[in-house]
Amino acid sequence: MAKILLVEDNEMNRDMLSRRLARRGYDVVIAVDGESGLALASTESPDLILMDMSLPLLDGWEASRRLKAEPATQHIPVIALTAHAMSSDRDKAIDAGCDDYDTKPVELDRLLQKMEALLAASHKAY
Amino acid sequence: MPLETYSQDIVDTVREPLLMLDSTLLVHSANLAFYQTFKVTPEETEHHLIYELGNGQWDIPDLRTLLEDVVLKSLVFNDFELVHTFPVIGRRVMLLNARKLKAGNHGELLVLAMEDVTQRRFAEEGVARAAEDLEAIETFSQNIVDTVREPLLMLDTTLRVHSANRAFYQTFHVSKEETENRLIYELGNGQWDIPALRTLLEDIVPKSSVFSDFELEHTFPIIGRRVMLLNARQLKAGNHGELLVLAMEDVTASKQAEEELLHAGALQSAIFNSANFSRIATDEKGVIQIFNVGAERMLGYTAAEVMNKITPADISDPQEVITRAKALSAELGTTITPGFEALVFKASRGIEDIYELTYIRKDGSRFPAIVSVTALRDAQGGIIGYLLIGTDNTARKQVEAERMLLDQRVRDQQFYTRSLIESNIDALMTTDPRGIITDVNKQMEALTGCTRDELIGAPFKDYFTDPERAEAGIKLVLGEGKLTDYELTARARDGKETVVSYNASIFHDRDRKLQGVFAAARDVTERKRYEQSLKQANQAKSSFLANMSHELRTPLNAILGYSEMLHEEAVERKLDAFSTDLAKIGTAGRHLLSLINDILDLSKIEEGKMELYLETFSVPRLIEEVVETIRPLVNANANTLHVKCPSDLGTMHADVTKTRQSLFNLLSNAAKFTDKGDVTLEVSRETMEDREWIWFRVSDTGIGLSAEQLVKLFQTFSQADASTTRKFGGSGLGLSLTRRFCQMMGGDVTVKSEPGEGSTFIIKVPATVSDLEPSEPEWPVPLETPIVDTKRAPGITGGLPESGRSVLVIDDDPTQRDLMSRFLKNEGFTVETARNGDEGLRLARRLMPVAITLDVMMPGMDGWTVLALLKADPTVCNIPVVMLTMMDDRKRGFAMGAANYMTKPVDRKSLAQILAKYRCPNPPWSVLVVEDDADTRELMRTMLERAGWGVSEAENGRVALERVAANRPTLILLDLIMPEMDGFEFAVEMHLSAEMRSIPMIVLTAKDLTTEDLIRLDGSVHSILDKRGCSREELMGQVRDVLADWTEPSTAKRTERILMVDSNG
Repeated sequence: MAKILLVEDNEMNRDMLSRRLARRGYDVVIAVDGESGLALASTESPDLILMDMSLPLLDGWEASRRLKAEPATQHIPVIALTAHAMSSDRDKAIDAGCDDYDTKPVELDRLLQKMEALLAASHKAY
Repeated sequence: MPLETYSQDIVDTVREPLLMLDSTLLVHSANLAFYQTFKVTPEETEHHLIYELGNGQWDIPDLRTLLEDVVLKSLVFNDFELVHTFPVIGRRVMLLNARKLKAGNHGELLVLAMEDVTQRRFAEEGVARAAEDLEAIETFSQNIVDTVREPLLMLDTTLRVHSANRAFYQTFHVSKEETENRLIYELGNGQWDIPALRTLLEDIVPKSSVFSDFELEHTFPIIGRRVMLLNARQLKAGNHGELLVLAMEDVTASKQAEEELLHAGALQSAIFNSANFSRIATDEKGVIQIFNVGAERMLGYTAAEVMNKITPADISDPQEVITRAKALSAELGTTITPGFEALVFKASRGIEDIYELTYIRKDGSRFPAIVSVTALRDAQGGIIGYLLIGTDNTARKQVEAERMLLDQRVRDQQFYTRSLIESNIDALMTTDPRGIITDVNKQMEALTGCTRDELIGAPFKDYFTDPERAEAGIKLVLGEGKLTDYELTARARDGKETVVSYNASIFHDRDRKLQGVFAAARDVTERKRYEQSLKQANQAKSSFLANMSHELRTPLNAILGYSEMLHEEAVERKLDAFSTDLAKIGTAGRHLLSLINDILDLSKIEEGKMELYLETFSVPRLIEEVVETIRPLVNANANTLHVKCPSDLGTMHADVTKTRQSLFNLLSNAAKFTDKGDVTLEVSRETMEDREWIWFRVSDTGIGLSAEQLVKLFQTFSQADASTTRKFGGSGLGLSLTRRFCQMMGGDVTVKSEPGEGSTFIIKVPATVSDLEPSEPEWPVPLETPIVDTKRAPGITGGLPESGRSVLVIDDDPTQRDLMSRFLKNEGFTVETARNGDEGLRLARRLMPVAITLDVMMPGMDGWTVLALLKADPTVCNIPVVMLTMMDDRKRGFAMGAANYMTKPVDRKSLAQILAKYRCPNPPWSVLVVEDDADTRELMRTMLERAGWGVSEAENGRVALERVAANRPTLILLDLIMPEMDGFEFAVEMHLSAEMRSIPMIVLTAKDLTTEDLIRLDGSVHSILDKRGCSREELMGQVRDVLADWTEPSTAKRTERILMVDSNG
């Protein structure tokens, strides 16, 4: 079963999304800020990272950039999540190296589609 | 005394002694016979008492008795026999006869005739003769008295002159000796030997003893030509036998006058018969005697109807006669009766009198005349009548009336103008071309704290904080003919400063000579403060909405997520009661989220931050989702939802969120406004203009929309009416956002609706939306509108024609030129670029582009200078110029005549919207300009033609109808106040024609439209522009805006009802 790292500072959103993903059968690992997200990415080797953009300590864009700069983690697909439904946010996310982008509040089905697409692609790459 | 001499002469001829006694019995005279008989002298006799004569010889008792008793009692006594012995002549028997005579100014004389009857033989005859003589004398004397004023000749039967009177001698300058005892024909060297006189004396006189008024005309040697009137009478003159008394009246003078009169008479009669003057002659009492042809013609009476019947006062305005009588009474200090007297009183006093008088015609109508009144007099100056000459005063009266009316209108107009100036809330003034104040109103006095007298003659600029700028304003007006929204700060005498915005224009006199500047200043201190606070408030609002929305979304996110999760779990565990409720929480949460999103979106749009997020998605799947979401809402009102979406419709590349939101908005509206009816969603793939489009058609059987509601439908925060919000809920933002979203994706939403007939909304979005789609693409866009025939509608045909689409970009930055050019070409314009101001001006004149974008910051000639030069050149001054600048100097831009203004970096979508206004539809629409003012027509034609419209003109409604019949225009621009057929009538005519009714009309009027006017125009006119207070350019700008609206794909403003377009808007 795919292991998902969810980096989200908002407790309710984190709790809700992690439980819903777990209900869909994903193995969910949680980080509450950018720095712990980076650390867990290295130690847990998740199959996919869901990254909130507005995070304390280290924001999502910077965290993503570092992930993609680090050979050990650069292969892990990252989906950026943000409440700001602006294309500039998306562009910033893509620029930071994120593989996809979705808006909050999350539409689970759409997010799952995007996750499955990325998981399938990275699975093929292996 | 001719009489005395004359009588004496006659008396002397009597042979009997005669004594003439006066009433005191003094001897007046005696005759020769007396003196001879009694041998006394006249000296002894005359003026002596009869009793004293001849030493008392006549003091005879019998005589005393006779004279003192008899004579007093009886005028005549005969044959009083007196026997007396006279001292000288001895005893005599005298027979006395006496008679009283009137003797002119001598009073009464007693003639005492004495007959010496001593000689009895002669007694009888003597007495008789004496009696005869006395009688003759009496008659004679009487006749003398009768004719005494005229020259008299006494002729005997042989025509010898017996005697002549003094008048005769005087008249004919002859002496007594030359006259008496001569044949009349010999008198004065034969001057009386006149054939006519011979005829008279020798033929007529013997046959008739009396003749009268024999007229004799003769040229006398001494006195010249004379006309004499001869009267003759034969007399018995005692023993003188018969005498012929010839009385002559010199009528030369009166004859002459008469002749002149006769001569004048011919002229007079000609004048009298002239029909150009009414001549009414009356007798002295006013009774009409003559009523000439002119009078007949002017007054309608025949002469016979008035002559000898009425006076001129009877055919005059009685009120005028009364007024005239009163006025004359007052003027002359005597009572004048209102009647004929009032008409002629002055003339009767010899005062020249000409006055206005209204005659009343026979038919009762009034005839104003100028009447000249003359008194007619006889030779002695006595008034014998009056002549009233009247000339027709109608024309003069009319001219006077017209002039009075005109004068009144001039006064009214002046008053009106002054009132307008004074009642204006703006401070108004006029200056001469040097900027010296020539007139001000009260508001101007208030603004400056100076009096009108102080202001007039002073330089305008002195009253402002920045005199240079004030003076520059005047120069700008003089250079451009007008100026709008030019801000200045006025400084009053007390130091109070007021920010005013000036609108000014030059004005000319009738000969088009420049008179100066008319300027209106509006106090904008308040407005500026208000604008500033509005701006701040708006920013605060947007910022608040954005923050608030974000803050709301986070907890809502949780609500939605958990309820969704619980719902899934409840479904899994088959807890149906829970799952239904949880679903409701989810639905309500999503609705709330959508409202919050709407608000956030709106603030984003307002801040220009809304962007598209394009992705490829399955249309049937989207429909499934949407239907799933909307179904509960549709079912809530017991409506049935019909969905027609082919499963093979495939994908589209667009912003799915915005598409979904748009659909959701339309469907939820349909569900809300329909009760127990049908809501239908139909999706189709259409190919238009070589492009694929997805159409989403949402129709319902609900309450529908009125035309008024259609107008406001897509406006922000506008539900059909306030009660709608209460009844149906909703933010009122849905349709507005829907339209914005669709337009952002290069599509649009259109509506068709009738009250009670339900509504149909159609969203049309390209199947593949490109990133470069304009936010509000006026071109090209498929259209379906309630009133414009789609066959004529623009939009689905090919490229634009060369004319009417070129834009000139003036910018020194090559990158900017390249970007603008690519973007504008993409927008369907042809683009020419210029690297600097000089090149820009040259290209502007050559290309005559529909619009110019002008960069302000350029080396060398800057944008402001280029703008000023463009505006100063009449050939290009009407080309709209959009200023592009780094700094917000909007006011300056507009003051200098820029059509629009944008700050860099340029929002290309806004620029596209602005430029779209200046572009014409394709193929070019024909516009009929119905306007009576040739200048305005010409101006509109120039502007419209340059924008690529086909223009025809009509100067009034009637001509316009002909033009419409000959060549149907797409649009009509209609003035209301026109000669022959005005805009109202024209609109009615158009509305009556089934064929013409659909031609949209835009009214341009300066008229203050009443409700009644609006009702008259209702249903036939689509927009009304108020051209009052607009400069021509402003008006053209408005026309351009309205036309731009018409070419827009939006149906919002294309309603069958009146759309008021505020002149300020």
